[in-house]
Amino acid sequence: MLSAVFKHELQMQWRKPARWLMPLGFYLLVSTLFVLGSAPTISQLQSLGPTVIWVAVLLAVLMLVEHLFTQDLQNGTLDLYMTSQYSLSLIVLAKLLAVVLIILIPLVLMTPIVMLFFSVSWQYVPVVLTTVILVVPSLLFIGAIGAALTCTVNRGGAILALIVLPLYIPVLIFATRAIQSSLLSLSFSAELYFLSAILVLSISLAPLAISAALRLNNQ
Amino acid sequence: MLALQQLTAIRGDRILFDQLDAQLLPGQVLYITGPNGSGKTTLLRMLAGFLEPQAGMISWQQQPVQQSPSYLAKLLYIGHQSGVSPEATALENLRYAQMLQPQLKRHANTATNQAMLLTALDTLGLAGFEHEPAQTLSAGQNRRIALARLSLSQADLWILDEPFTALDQQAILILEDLINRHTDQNGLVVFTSHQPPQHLHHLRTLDLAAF
Repeated sequence: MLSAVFKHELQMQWRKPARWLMPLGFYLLVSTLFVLGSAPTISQLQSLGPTVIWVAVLLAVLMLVEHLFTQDLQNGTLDLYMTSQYSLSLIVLAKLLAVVLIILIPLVLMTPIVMLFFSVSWQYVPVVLTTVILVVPSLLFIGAIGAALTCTVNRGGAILALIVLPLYIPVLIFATRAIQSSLLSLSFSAELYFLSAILVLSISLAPLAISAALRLNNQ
Repeated sequence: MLALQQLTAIRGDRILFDQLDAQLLPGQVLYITGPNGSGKTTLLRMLAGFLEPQAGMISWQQQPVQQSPSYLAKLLYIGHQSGVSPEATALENLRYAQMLQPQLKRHANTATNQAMLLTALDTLGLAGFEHEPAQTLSAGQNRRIALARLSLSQADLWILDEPFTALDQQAILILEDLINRHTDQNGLVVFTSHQPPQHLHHLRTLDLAAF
């Protein structure tokens, strides 16, 4: 069943590429604008890099997450899920894992290029990609809680940002710290442990919160 | 057997219905009628477990539905929004709905099942549209995709919210035929509609305006 939902969601996302291409384009554009707008000294760019990359990723994920459940709610797919004997949390988990896959692969491919804009050298690619892989699923699962809460609100984007962005702060701090530490050749394993802990917690607990919020919004 | 005892529904500060009693035996059809805003959809969504009644009890085989784990397995709900994904084709939509039901899922990928799905779509007059994305089809055809689930269903209790909307005369006859065959096999059907059905057997009417 998990695989059926996973496959269905992949197919649906694939057939409406605008949903995930737009956030990716946004990510690329925001980071480019920062580079073009800041003073072109290498040291400044390097210290700015991690922060800008992470803020851009964060906003891109927020864009992606906004309409995650509105369509399911409006076309009755959510009714189908709720009258299924399978647990709604598991269905949500499968759906979100598909979305993670669809956004994570392009982000992993794009981020090394964006790093070059900030003249962060290739040797830091593994660290940055590790943080991307650890962080993006957490951002998506946490953001999806907000999306489930606001899916009945018209133009819920602003309120979604107000709910979700504060929850992103710990992730943002640890992710940028990890990269900055590695740029200074310091150990960054503590940050990675924290990010992994957040990842495990959000993947395991967020689906429960999301399914409760969806039930509330689909009475 | 489905029994509603002393049901009360409140939306906002309005009482939609109060102290509603009804009973439905195997082989019977319950036709719920009433003016707009009388709580028809709310009642059906209560029966499908989307929301709990403010008072009263819904029981299935003498057990409250909240405590009856098999209830969801016996239930097929098709709401006003019929649960059809616009990007998926008619066939994919039908197969997906089937995958979400464990008792149907086992054979979901076999060739015989493929043939069954195509027959179900054909029954609803969708032959030739199997591989068209639902968003390119009309509202009536989308409804037919959802209703094709009925002819595959092994559920005992069908809950249908306005199943006749957007359907043409031919599709209405097909649907009435499906419902009659279901009740002939001791199935139960609860549905709402603004047009009184013409050819249904064992029909009982529940007018919500009276509660």
